[in-house]
Amino acid sequence: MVPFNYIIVLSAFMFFCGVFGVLFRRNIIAILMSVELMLNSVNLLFIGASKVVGNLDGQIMVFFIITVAACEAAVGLAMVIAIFRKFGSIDTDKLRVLRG
Amino acid sequence: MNIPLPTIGSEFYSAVFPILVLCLASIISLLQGVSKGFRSPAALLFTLLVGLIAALVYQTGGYFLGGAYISDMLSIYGKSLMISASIVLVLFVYFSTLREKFFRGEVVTLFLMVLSGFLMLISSTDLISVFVGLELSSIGLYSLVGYINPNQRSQEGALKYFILGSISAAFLLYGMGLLYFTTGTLGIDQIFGQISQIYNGPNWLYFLSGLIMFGIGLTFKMALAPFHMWTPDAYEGAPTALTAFMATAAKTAIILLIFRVISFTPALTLETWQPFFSVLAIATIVIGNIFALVQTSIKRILAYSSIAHSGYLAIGLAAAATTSNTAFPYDAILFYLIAYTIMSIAVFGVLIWLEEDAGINLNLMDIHGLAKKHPFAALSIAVCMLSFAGIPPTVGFMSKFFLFKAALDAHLYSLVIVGILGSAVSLYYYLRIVVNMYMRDPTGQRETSPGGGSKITAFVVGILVVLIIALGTVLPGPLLNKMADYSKPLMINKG
Repeated sequence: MVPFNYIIVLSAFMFFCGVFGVLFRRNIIAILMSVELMLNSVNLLFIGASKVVGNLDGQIMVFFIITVAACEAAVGLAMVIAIFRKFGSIDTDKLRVLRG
Repeated sequence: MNIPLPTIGSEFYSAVFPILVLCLASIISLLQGVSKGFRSPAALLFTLLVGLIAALVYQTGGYFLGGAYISDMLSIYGKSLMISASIVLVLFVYFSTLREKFFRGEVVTLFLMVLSGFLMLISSTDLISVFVGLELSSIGLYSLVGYINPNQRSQEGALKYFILGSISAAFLLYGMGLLYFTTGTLGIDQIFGQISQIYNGPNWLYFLSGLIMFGIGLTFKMALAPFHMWTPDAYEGAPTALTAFMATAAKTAIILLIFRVISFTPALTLETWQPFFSVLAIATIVIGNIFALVQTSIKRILAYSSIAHSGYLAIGLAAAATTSNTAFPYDAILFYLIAYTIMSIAVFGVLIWLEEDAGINLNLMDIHGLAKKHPFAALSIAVCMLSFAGIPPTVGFMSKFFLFKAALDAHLYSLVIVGILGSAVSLYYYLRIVVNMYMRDPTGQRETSPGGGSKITAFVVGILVVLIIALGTVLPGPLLNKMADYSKPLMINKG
């Protein structure tokens, strides 16, 4: 069996890849992909933890996370389309109406 | 009113009745939206009000989902407050120019879903139901911010809210994952009941980082300082009625959830929470009040003021986490939430009313000389501003007084000093609004006189203003005593 430390290191690595992606990418689609990466790293953590802890609660949580991630992706992509129609671009640097 | 709770293990569908009835109303309004005869705003308002009033009136205690959902006095307090606030806001919207835009099937559906998400959140004692409630409310809010009144401003606000909200949800989830790994359970009571065994053990580092990430997720939703960036943009972009809803309901829901977490922490290790909330409180009060000074848009000022008020609430949380044997900090926070909800709804109600003719997003120039053109609106705003700033004899003063007293009882002197200095700074931007209304001549670029058809808005705002004064002069004692009933479940968990 893979030691749990490996799983936690892998999921933390994925999570922070996602965080850096969100912080440094300027394309909204890339940001959405990074958010999905973060949520998937959480899934990995829950499944690994479920194996270590010895009950199935964590795996049930994963189903909820997958469902919610799908909802978020749907809303996010709808927003990307709406933004593209209004601003003509999906670059976050172009979104500068709200200031102060 | 005191509800006896049945033992865990028995399921009561009546306990989830408010959520079920709101979900039912949301499905009905979705169907109404595609029907031929029932899609008028009046028909949707009818469904909405019937659902809200049924959920408000019929509330019983009990458990559901094997104890993951609990309806006790605390959640009944939260439900009553949020549903009453929603009823008032829905009425405001119905009598404004936003009527056609808000009373569409899908918007009403999303609104009811958001509300049921908040109700789920304050009743949950399990991480799964916390997560579902939080996402149900957040995803609905992201969509509503950009959808009700689509323009560049609202869609930019919605996108920023969405991106930062998803990151915070991911942080919250990662924290939950670590908490689950160290404790082997998803029940909030079991997780936080185990702190003393885990403390300084081999898994303490994992537990602590899990706790911090979980905390980051929650403080983001409550708009505490380092995680407040989304608030001004989302508040300014959203239609005003929705801004009021976000400012009041979201704050109430998260505070009550944090109450539950704190109440399940054993008294010995409770003080681990105190530095966390103290740092956040100081940062939030400083940042909220200072950034509010330089704003010109009224909604942005109110957004930063809402951040500052989250900071004052965090002072109360720090006090609640320090003194484990008294319910007074909880009572003070519950009182503060009622006061803040009344003030916010009153001031946003007047803004909805004024914006009717002025287009959107009033700034400080637009309200010049408002007192001459419409004395009642100006007076209502002035009372609310004084109450926000904490000037007697308003409810804002009493609520801050109780909160600071709770902090003094807990010997958190530095927090009280920061809080009082913050209130003093906040006087500048609150009084600036009053000065602009009363002491400047109308510049008359945009017309800000309330239009016709808004008698009911004026009437409701009038009631709220009377409440602000009454709760600040004669009624604060009885209301505070009433709060002791609602905070009782928290103390039972302690024992």
